[in-house]
Amino acid sequence: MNSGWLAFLLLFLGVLLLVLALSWRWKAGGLAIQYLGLFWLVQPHWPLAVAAVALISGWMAALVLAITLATLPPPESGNLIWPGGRFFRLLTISLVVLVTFALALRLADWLMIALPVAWGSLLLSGTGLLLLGLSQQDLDISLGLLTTLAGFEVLYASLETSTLVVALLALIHLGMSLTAAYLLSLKGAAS
Amino acid sequence: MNAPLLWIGVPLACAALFWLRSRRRGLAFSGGALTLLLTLAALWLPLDVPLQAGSLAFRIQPEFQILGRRFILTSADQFLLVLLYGAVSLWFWAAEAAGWANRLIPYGLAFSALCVAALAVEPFLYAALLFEIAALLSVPLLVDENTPRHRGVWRFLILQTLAVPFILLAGWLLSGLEAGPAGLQTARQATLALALGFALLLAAFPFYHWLPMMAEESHPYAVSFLFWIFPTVTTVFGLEFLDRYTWLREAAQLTLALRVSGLLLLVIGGTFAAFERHLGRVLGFAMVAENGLSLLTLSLGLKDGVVFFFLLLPPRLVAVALWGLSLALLQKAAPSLTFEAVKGKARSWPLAASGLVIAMLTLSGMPLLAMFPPRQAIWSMLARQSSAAAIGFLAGTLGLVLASMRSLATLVAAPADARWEVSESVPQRFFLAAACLMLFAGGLFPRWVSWVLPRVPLLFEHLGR
Repeated sequence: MNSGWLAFLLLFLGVLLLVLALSWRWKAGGLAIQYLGLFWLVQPHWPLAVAAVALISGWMAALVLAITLATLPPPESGNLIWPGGRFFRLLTISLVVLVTFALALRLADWLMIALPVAWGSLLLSGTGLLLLGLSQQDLDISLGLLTTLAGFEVLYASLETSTLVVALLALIHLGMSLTAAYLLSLKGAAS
Repeated sequence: MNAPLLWIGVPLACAALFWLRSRRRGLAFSGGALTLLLTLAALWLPLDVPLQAGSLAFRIQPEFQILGRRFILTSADQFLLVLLYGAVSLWFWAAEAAGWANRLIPYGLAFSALCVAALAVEPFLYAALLFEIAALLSVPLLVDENTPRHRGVWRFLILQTLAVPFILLAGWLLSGLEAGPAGLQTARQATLALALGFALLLAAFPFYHWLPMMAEESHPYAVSFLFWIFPTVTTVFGLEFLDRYTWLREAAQLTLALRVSGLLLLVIGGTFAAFERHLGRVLGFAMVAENGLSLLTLSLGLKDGVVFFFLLLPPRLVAVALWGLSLALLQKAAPSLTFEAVKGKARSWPLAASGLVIAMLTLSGMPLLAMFPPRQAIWSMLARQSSAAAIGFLAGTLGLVLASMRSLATLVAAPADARWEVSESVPQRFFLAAACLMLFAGGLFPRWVSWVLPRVPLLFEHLGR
């Protein structure tokens, strides 16, 4: 199997965990897997050391969130994704997978990029938007933002190879997780 | 020595230093003095010219390279630096009086430096990434730990984050158009991506909800700072796009798009402000209307519109800062900023209440106040181009006037036996009075902003000429 498809499978596993898992541990794990898939997909376009920056910053972002959540009381069940059922979320992610596949065929053709890159990028962006749209919980919003940005990063890596862009995107991933950690800890302290 | 280090590197380093010493007193003075020095340096220091200080000869280079990309600040940008750092300085001096200096000085300084970096970076489309970092950095500045909800801040972050991909993608498509002959299809895709990116970045319809939400939940003084700086720099960033691409500048739909989105924001902002019962949210909706006014101004044509856009900035700066300071003081005096909570507060906080109403009336474009001359000129030009647009402008303005009247009526509605007292401290009185005087002076002597006029065309290659 093409290594691009293996990376895509990693991304798919990551987004499944992000959408279906209820525990923050699984979600943080999903985020870490997602960044591994991202690294795999961008390393043909970027030098290995530069791609490693994206991986390490992503893992650090996941770690920051995990450490913060470990110190906080569990969120109230009423704030979970609405509707809360796993079946509903499985249906929505299936819909995202199907729609992004249809779009990826055209995107790959338009930008002349490999299908796993196009599909992986759209799948991540779609999942991020799904999380943003379905949940009001701070953790899900931050995961949604990180996932949407990661999706764009996969696509943009095949178009632009500037080191400054990689550095700024790494800063944004870290900054986003630190911001989320700050807001989560404020809410935790208040509750 | 080079200009980006002076106006980006130094503020960033000082912001880190201020953050480390944020518990100390006198932070507002240090921050205010530093930004005033940066403003004066932008006003007087010539760039790329040999300078002599005693035996030391040096030249301030306009360019700084990092990771293969350049940050460039030329002498044409110095006007913008004066405007930005001058505005920041104004906010910083009064930060102690507003009770938010510990947050505003370190984070606000870093935020401003990143905004300047965004306007200086080449290729300029990377600015979207720097705006996103600035937005992330603004969170600790905005968040009031006593408020349990942060929906406005989250929504702001979401919309700024979603803007990044669209603007970067548009930039990539536009670079393809620049490099060689590309199809009409690519131009359309670039325009669509750009329009979406800027709609998100500028809080255009229907992405404006974070403004009133944030104004309700966050500290009013920090909010007022963000509400002036962010739309100003993002609009200038948008103007850079227009300046660079002729086909975009000359697109027939540009005027219509700017006018429709501007009018929508102005009418929505004015209408919702008129019916709002929370003073913070009124500020949010007033800023929605102000963003609409900016877009509407640009729709007058890219020669006059750009000049008028810059003429609006100085009076808006004073009015928004005064509004933020007044709200910050009233928030201390009342449990919240709802109309019920602040009812009759003009008796105990008369200067804050007066400042608030004067700021509101200024943004409504009342005669004798600083926004009247530019708003009147814009309205008159708009009426010559489109009567419907002029009526929309009037509707939005009337909404803001009504909001001012309702706020005034609430603030003075105290029991007849309530005593008059002045609860503001001496520095608070000074800043409130100074801002009110500036607004009246701006209305009575409108030519004070004319220093803007010759400088605007220098900022751009094609716009404003």
